[in-house]
Amino acid sequence: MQIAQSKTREQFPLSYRKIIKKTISSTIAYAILLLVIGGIITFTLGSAGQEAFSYLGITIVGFFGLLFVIFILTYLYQRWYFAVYFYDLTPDFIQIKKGPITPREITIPYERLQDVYVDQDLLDRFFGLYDVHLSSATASSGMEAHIDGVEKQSAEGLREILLETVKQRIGKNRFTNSPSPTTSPLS
Amino acid sequence: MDEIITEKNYPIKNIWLFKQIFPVLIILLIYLFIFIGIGNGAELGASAVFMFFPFLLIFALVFCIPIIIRVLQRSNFHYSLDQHFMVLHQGIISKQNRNVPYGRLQGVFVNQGLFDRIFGLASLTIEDFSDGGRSAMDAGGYVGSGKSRHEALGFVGNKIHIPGLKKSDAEALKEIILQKIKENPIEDSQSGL
Repeated sequence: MQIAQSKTREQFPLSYRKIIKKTISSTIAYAILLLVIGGIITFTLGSAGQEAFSYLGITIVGFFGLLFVIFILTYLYQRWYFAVYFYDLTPDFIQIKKGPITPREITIPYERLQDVYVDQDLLDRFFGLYDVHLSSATASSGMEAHIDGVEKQSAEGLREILLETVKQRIGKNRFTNSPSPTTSPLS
Repeated sequence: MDEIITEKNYPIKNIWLFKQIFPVLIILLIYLFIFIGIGNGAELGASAVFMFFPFLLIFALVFCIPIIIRVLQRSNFHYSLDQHFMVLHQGIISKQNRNVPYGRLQGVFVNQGLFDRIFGLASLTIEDFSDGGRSAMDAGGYVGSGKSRHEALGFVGNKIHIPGLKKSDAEALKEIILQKIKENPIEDSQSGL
């Protein structure tokens, strides 16, 4: 597995548990989808007077067989996704690139960063993973600009380094001795 | 870098026009395949040609209109990367001109869809945080939505789309724009916007 390595990814690596987590979450989603479709088919056949329940054994075997195939395919896809997941904090820009088949790449200047926030969903809690979001003000950057599936240490490290860089870049052009806005200049 | 970069340096490829009808073409081929497959069993008389004719007309329209629109859009879309501003022109009938300071750009995207990948293309999207001279309502809620439904050309809402670039061209253009952003920092960054 050739991993799209960058300085940042070396320093704050993605966790391999991310592959497992993603595989499990999408398999669950597919399982629910299959159950719904299966339910609809059973209902339709049942109302048409067919004896749907006589095929119960085949249905269950088919369901788990299909789910197993989906599991394997998703696992392979997620491995691939993991391998091409690229993020790099260059001196001037944040660059994130993901998607093995249809690559999407986003580049944001540090000055445009609105906030850095870290979150976990339920499966992330099980696996001890964190998502670091670093969006700018636009909606599409909010959708694209996040680094998913890093461990606690890396998440903290990324947060620190991002905030430090943003502070430096924004503070660069500020007047250091500007009067405090809360004190009136007349008093 | 004295030379001003324009759309002539990084042109939108002709194959991009073909890409617009490519999915329709595939569906049409499948459809024809099935239709002929069924027709084989029955007698194909002169009446079948008349049966086909309205379909052919519709298909011709389906193919031609988007391509004509795209060709006109493409020939009317101009950008130039000046010293301090990105100057854009577009509009087939009503003309629009937009001048974006580099320091205000929010992000640069390079995306490749499935068909882009097949044809070796990439689309470049640049975002700022204006609403492009019109309100979010006029833009059809475009500012709020993440992805565009159709692949746009030109500027809509807060986005500037340059699709159909060769992959290497898209990368090069991205680098140039990033360089310009770097050279033109915003002096007062109180708002962060």
